[in-house]
Amino acid sequence: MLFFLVMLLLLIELVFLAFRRDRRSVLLTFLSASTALFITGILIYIAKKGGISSETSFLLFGPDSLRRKLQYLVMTLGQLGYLVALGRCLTPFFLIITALDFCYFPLAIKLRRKSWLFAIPPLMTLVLYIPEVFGAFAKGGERSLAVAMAIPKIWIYGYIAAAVLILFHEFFSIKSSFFRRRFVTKMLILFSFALLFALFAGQDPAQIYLFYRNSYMINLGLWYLSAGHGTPLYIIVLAGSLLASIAGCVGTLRYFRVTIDEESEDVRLRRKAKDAAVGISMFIHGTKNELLSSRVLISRLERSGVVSDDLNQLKEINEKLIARMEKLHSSVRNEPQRLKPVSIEAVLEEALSIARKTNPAIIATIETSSPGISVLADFSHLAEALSNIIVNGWEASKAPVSIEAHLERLWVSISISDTGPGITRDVQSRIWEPFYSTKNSSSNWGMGMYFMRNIIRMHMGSVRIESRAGKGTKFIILLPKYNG
Amino acid sequence: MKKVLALVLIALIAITGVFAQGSSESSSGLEKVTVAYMANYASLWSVVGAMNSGAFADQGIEVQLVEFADGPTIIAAMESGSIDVGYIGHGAHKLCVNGQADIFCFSHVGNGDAVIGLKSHGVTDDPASLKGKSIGYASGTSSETILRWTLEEAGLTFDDIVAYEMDASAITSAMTSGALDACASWSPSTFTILNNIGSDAFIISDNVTFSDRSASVASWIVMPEFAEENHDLLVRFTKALYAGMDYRAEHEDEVIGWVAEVLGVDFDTVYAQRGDAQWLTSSELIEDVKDGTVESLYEVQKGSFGSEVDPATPVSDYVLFDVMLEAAE
Repeated sequence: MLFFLVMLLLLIELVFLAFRRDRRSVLLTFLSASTALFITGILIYIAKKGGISSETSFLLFGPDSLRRKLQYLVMTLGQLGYLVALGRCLTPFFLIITALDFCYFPLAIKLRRKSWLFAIPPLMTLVLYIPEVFGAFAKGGERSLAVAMAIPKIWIYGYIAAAVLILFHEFFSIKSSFFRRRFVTKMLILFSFALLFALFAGQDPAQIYLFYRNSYMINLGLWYLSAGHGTPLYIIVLAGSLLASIAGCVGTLRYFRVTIDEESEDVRLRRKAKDAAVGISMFIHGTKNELLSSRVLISRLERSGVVSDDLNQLKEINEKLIARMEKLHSSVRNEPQRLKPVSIEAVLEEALSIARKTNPAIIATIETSSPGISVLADFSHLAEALSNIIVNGWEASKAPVSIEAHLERLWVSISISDTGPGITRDVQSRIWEPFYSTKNSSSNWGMGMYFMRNIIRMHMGSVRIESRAGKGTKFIILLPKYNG
Repeated sequence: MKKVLALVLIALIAITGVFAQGSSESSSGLEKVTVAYMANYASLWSVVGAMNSGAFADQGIEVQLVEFADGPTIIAAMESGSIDVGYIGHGAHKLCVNGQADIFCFSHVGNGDAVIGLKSHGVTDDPASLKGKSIGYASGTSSETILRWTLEEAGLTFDDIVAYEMDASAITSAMTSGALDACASWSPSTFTILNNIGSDAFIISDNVTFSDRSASVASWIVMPEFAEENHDLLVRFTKALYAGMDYRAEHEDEVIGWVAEVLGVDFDTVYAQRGDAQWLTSSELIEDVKDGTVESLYEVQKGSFGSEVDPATPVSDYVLFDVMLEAAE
């Protein structure tokens, strides 16, 4: 079973790698490959050596035919020992490198830049374990052999402990529950590999090179036959690892599904907007021409000396309609974004000010966790986009809207919360569609949320909604942090 | 998802609980003894005979068999506490001489070790033909010893051959596939190789070739602490082994069939191993113990280990003759 679990993990990582050809997937694939290499080597060794009960044999190998196959595999002890040495040295190395890659606290980022340093102990150990080199070393007697075995054990366990600590540190430094949930799935995958590896980490390749050496076995012991390595331990480790892997893989698959859903929603919305765009443009063009003609006529009436409140009202309505037409036009055309570093505080202040132009009664609070947070953005477009959520939040609750911004790993997280009735799942699924609105108002054409999402996507960001009936709605906008 | 994970976790904890119910007393009320064996007839003939004829049950013992590849690993497992009683071949006896285990019952003098060559690869009866050949062996075992002695016959050393350190199973596969010119191994691997290859494979030397230099004794062993704390159990276990030895003498084919079943091989494979040693009955063994034959065999064996053991160690320090004699009463 252990053999199949390890192979399954490798297969899953290879599938992920095929879909996402990024550095992280490559690291995870290397980690699973080195773990598979290590566990396979150990299982070949155990198959050849024997000494396990039939229950343990089933847990490790599954069908007995596999154990027999591995037992009779033609390999010299040098080849088998070095196979185990490779897996044993590479797994903790990839474990710590991958853990660092998952983390964004300052020390992790610093260490990541110098990750080649972590390769030194594994490389030195691998040189020591070249069969000829090791043979010469082993001749020095059991004391030198014990030292040669102890040193790799120190850095191997050190790497595993460090990787676990790094992951926990990152977990506790994440404030947003959304990011925590996402991080836990990654943590579980790494924990699953760490657990599988730790099961046999003490199995020194020396035990394989010196397969039948009496004195060695008696004085230095055999790891897989040491106390505690019985059926219950294997069940616990297999169960723990399996559960962690399932949870990790389901989490990752869910994340992939969200990403794919978002991408397909982008395509769907773009297509919908494209279909509507021609009609909208013609409508805007025609309506605007009529409104401009009305403007000329109103001017003429003013110049001819007509003074009336009705004429003033007509002029005001006409100008408002022209402005709305302009806004509608800008929401359907792809305007170029002029990105430059801007303070997130300034963007939020501007967004609130724009929102108050639409509805002067809006009350909102702005909080930022630390001053000087910057994003690379088109100031006016981003502020305009965020103002739509502020207006919606106020209109939904008629209570103060809370606007918060803080740094979260690689992102600036902006959350805009209201205490309104919440948004149903059905509405959530359509909220980003152009011309979709639940408000029965002459001033709302259902383009605000579509426009907002477009602008955020153009800033390489994303928007999520967390809403509970009767408890309010929170929009979480993630924008890439600017480190300039 | 959370519910599924919780259910899986509960199920696994339950399974763990079931598997974890290890106890020295079995459900049948018999005293449970974990016995290490090697996958050959020489290791199983008496113990399986005693198990299936009901001799262990008569002594209030239930035996649980665990397969191992070699004696040193069995001793390492006994040190870790996972094995109570073990069977060892010649090579691992040096650990007993060095005080790491006690012998409580003599099993037999074997002839299972052999150096095998392939005619088609230019190997002949003359050990000198091994020069420059690729030879697989298991270092630290009787395989290494018999290969070294065979090479010495022709004035050769390990430097004169291309030696491949392998485990016994890999030697069998490599030899059968023709990857090696010769090998040194032990029964039943030697039989498997000879059977699989046919007339091209032949024995260059075996234990009989070197009977003047060593006695290839096989024994039943325990940890010294176990022997001290479980004297009565050891006596009862030995009584059952004696009964198994006697049962084999009268029902050889039946015992061969039982051993084949344990090993998961056919009857003929085990049948071919019946000539690996002279299988004693309990009365023959007790006679040999009483007249000093067994002690002298252990003396010769000790001498063959050279500087690896202290030659001054008396055989009676690590062989529990009292258990063998008490079990005969």
